[in-house]
Amino acid sequence: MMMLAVLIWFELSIASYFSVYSIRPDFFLIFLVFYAFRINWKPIVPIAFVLGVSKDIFSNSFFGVETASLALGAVFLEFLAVRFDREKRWIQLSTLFSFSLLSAILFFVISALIKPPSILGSWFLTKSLLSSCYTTLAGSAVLPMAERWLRFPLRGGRQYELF
Amino acid sequence: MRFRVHLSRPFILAGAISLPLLVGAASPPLVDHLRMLTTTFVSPVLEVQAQITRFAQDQTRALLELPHLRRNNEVLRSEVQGLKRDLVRLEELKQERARLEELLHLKKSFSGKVVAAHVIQHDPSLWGHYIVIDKGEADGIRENTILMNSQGLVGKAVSTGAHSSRAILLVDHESRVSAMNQRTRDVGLAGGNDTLLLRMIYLDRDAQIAIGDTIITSGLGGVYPKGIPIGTVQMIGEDETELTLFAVVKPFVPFSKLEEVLCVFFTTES
Repeated sequence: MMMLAVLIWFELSIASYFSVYSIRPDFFLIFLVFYAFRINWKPIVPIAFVLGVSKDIFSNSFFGVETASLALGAVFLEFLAVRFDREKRWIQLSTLFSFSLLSAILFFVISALIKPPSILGSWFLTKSLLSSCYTTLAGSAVLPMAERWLRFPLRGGRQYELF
Repeated sequence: MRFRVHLSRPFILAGAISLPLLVGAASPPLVDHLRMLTTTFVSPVLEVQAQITRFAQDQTRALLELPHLRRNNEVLRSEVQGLKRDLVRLEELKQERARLEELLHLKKSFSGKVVAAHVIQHDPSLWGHYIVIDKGEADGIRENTILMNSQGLVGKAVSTGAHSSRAILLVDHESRVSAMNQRTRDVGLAGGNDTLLLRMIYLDRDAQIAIGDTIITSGLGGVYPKGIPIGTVQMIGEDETELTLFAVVKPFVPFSKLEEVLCVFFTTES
């Protein structure tokens, strides 16, 4: 919970400094991929739900859309996490890219179902792609750091004896 | 047991996804209240953090000057370092003063009540363009209070708390303002399209609009008064129906760098 609070604080206050022409990496998605691949994939949907609700509260988009897109995206993430080699960095990054793109697409599909698709257009695809690329780029820097500093505290200090 | 858990999982998931959406659809005032309550609760922390950030930025800039000073003079390094740091701080103060003077100048030009406010939070969503300012109902901010800075129109307040308010920026896709070409007086509707540019639609097909023309508010619609600068025309085109023209307008205000805004309460006379 402490980690989630820190993450929400980070997204609210620090993440805007990484913004380039209103496109910025989504650190929630990076955290979710890290958690699913390196800590435990089982609680990933509830965590995505909590992060989505917090995003909904602090943003002004239609309430629930961020939650729905993140939670549904997390189902896809869970699907990938149990099927692929979670150690390989390129798998983590390509999952992060597809998860980011899927979340953006889900956001627009749900928005379009609720309200007239006023923001659908060519810019939507461009922005989704650019932000997914930016998130993946940020992930390539953040994931090794998280691996080094967060994995052990988040796993609760579990150690395994091989011999 | 395992089978039952697997069977119930899609239902739990569907419930978890649809519950916030149902709350959002069924009771928008409840959501607004929840958001405002959260903002009120979080804004003091964000305010303190903004002050710390400004302090850290000052210090970082001062530190960045260090290697430069070392190269210039090793002996006088410490002295020059101090002077440079002061200079950076003074420059920062000078720039802030210039901005505030501009705001003050702007403030004097309005007959209505005017309040200056700091931006303490930007919208965390990738798709929204909202800000939170450190002034609220206690300072007289109400829904539809107009936000400007020295360059032009910024947006308007959409919900208010006691000491903070949320405001929609002009570039948000839900933002609309009745606009006018200052030179030709052609009227249209300018709105955000989720980029950093605005799109002015419903321009008369015979409008004599040209690239570089200045767009201002028209005063129609009752929210924004006439004559507030919005931006300059960058591109003109024919819309899909071929009945009207549209223009792409570059706003005067750098929305991603907003630090201070002026909240203006226009009276009917002004």
